[in-house]
Amino acid sequence: MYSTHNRPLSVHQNQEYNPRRYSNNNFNKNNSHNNGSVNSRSRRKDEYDPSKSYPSYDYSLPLIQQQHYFRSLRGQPNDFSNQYIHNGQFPTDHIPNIESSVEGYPKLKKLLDLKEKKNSEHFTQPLGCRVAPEKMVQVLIQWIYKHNLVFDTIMIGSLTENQQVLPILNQIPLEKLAIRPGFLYIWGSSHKLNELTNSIQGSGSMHNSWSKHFRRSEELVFTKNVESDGSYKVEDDDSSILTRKQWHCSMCITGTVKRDADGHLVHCNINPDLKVEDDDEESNPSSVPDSMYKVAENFASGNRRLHIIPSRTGLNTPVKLRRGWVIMSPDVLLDNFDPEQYKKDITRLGHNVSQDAEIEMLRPKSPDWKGKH
Amino acid sequence: MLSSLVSFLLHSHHIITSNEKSVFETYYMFQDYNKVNDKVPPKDLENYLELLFQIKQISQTVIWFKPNSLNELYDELSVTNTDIQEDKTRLVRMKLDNYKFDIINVLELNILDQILHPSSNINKIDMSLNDCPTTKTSLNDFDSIMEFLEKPVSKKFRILNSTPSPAPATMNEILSLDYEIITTNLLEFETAGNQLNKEIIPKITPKRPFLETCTDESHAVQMARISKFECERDSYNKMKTVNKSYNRKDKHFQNDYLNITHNIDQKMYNKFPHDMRSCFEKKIHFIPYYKTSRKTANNNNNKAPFTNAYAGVNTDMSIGDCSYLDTCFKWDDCKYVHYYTCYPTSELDKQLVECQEFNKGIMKNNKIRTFYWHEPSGYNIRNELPAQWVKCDIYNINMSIFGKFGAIIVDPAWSIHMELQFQQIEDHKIISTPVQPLQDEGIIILWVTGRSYEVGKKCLETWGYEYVQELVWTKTNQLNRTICTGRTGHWLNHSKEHAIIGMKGRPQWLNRKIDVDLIVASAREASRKPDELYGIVERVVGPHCRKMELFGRQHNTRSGWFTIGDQIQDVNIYEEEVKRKYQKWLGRR
Ligand SMILES: [Zn+2]
Ligand SMILES: [Zn+2]
Repeated sequence: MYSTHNRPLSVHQNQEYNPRRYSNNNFNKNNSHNNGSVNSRSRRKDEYDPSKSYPSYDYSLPLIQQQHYFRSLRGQPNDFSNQYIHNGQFPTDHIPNIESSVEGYPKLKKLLDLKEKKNSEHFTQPLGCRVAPEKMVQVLIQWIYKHNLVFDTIMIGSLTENQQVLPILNQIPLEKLAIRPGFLYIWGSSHKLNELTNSIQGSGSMHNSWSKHFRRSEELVFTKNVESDGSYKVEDDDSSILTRKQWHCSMCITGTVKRDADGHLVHCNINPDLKVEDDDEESNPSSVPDSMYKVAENFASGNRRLHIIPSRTGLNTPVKLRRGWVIMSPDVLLDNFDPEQYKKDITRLGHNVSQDAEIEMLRPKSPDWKGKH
Repeated sequence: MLSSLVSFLLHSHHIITSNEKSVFETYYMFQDYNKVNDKVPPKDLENYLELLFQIKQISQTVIWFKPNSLNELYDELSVTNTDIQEDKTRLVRMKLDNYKFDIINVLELNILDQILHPSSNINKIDMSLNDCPTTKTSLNDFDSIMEFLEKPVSKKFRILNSTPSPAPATMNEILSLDYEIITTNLLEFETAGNQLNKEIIPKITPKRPFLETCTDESHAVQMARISKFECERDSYNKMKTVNKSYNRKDKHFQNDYLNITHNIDQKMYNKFPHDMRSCFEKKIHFIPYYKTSRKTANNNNNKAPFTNAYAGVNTDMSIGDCSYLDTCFKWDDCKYVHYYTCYPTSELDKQLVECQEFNKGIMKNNKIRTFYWHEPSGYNIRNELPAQWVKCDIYNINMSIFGKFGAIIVDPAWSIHMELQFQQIEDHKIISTPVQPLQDEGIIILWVTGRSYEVGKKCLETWGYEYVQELVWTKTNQLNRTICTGRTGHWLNHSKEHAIIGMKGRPQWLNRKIDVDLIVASAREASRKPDELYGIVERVVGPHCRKMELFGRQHNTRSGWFTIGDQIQDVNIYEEEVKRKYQKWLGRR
């Protein structure tokens, strides 16, 4: 016996149903552009009519009409999702500007190069602070209350599944660790997204102090074009309806910052909110890809940057040190961080990346900056 | 003798583990067991130990000992250098008394037992299938079970013999079977249902032509040299008038109105190397064109790529591509580079024929689904429903007249506090959308904007859905590139949009994990979502499932889908029952 179930099914009461009669022709009948209209008067019956709509690909139609459908797609005939079903190539694999997202935009490329150079002038040396996950809260609280340390940019978590991000979020007075205005980046796989969102909203059981001070401002997405067993793999569970491929990074802001007036603090619209990485890119991946550190560096000019990785990240994605960042992790190679020395270093380097006339000229000032041309 | 140990462990595993029997104790139990069953008992304790070790060698996870693994004990004993037999036995006894059985994996033992006693396996099937001829089924069935158990862990496993063979008698024979029994990683476990789905769905998904894009930049440059573009003056004026009536934000494809004709110098084209020409016949190329103003063109004896030159500005090749490319609404005043999509129509036609060949087989493949665990019978004699739509105010219509749907797409016009040509809806009103009557169980996909992210989740909650995951649409431009220039984002450039997926009830009939949670598709008119989503949803719920789209527009109508919203024209209902109910509702009003 076949199992019965309550999947809603088509109700076919009309026995003379002919799909072709109803699917396209009927649609066109209701479309005001048809017979008699100016456009189609001179056209032969089979000819392509750009004013017509071809709502979906119907392989049961005659070939000539299928050709018309593809013409109506205006040079975008490909369906990457369909292609994935038939040959397993990821939709993101077809993006030509994966390696250099600013391809074709020399101004933007120059801007990115200048930014990178300028940022690096203010970088501290790579700093590591090796702490066991269960000790992290204690150490951070010491930094806050004993050493009065503050950071401009704080990143929490990495692209690994077994993270204990929430305990850190809920136990540390992040609003005291971050200066105002300050920027927070929280990593999570698409699994953890829901509880993370609850935490950010401070809703449900997630009552915490930090969510009152930070607001979610952007949602970054990272994905890697790689089959399931590589690094940055998102684990699937029974609840998934689609195969999970996304890593999310929520960007939160505390304090007031104005995008047009606070150019010394933030440079907006430098990087996109999506990063696709190719399989062969970065042969030895780290717990957080370099490109994502760069997004944070390019956005906020503050030189004090802290990255907390509250879990072991495994051999596939080891913790890599990065200039300009203090990295706290149980696995970090260097353990050279000294809070008092750090304060001195920062005073010497300056709290913010200095202004640069050329960058000021090139950087986008309003969301529609190119629209002015 | 190994087989008798396996039977013994199967027989008395409960006593052994619940009383934490030591290895030493079980030795005597085993002796008794053998006596009762007329089997040869192990020679001595060491012999028994060896048997246990052999089992552990087949699979490390069959038996667990505490405090240590048996391997360690075995190693320990083998290095003990005593020649006196008595001393050695005593030592072994002492050690074994402390070694207790911790866990016995009965499932694995059963599998092992079936390998060692194929005959007993036949007997079991005999009993279950009564009159069926069983002689040739035994190992086949067993194979498939084993393969099912084995697959997620290691692909090494194979028992190639399809005919029943005598039980593997020696240790080497068992080990040569080369398999590892399920060990860990149940998280990664892919159910048989999923595996079947992954196999069947590509067979019943219509194939579409797929045109590759050329990656050799020199081709487009060469082509640009021998190209002349023509632009009908009329269509250009038409575009201007059409564009005036649209809001700046509503980007329509200018190529549609501009109607650019691409002319190639055929003589020069024939001089191209053969591989380049065949590339043009197979792949999509984006030909950069530069506009020359009428003034400049006259000075240069009309050698402009546009035969009827413009009053507008010259293209400046050095400043790079236009952010809007083919959606540029100030085309004549834009100095940035634009492209003409040159796509191989002959290749498309060729592929269409190939695809049609494949798609003919879909009906046949669909018949397999009749025997499928979660599909209705008579699947293949049903036709997909035609496109249906009703123009209505969603907040004022009795939603229950539409019946139940397996999947719903909601694309509300979230207010973004900007002036747009179409009406926007306030958040609280969207939350109050009467979605409830449309679904008993199934999935919902709600498009959200950056700002409405949190509100979107609240919507799902209010409508009775459980949040499952997110779908990200990577927007691409004419050149398939992700959008990286400042367009919409407040802090970062927005190059994607999010849809959140919710689930109601516990639908067992979903085809899960067929597609990935990413769509890459070109951005079209403002707020128009990619058609790829329909294909994805159709694969999840099946093409014959009733599907609804709320707040749809005319371009959203699609066979298999019921579209409602106030931006749509007229009413087109095919299902008799819905038609009746709708007319009744109209009459009552
Ligand atoms: Zn080419
Ligand atoms: Zn332009």
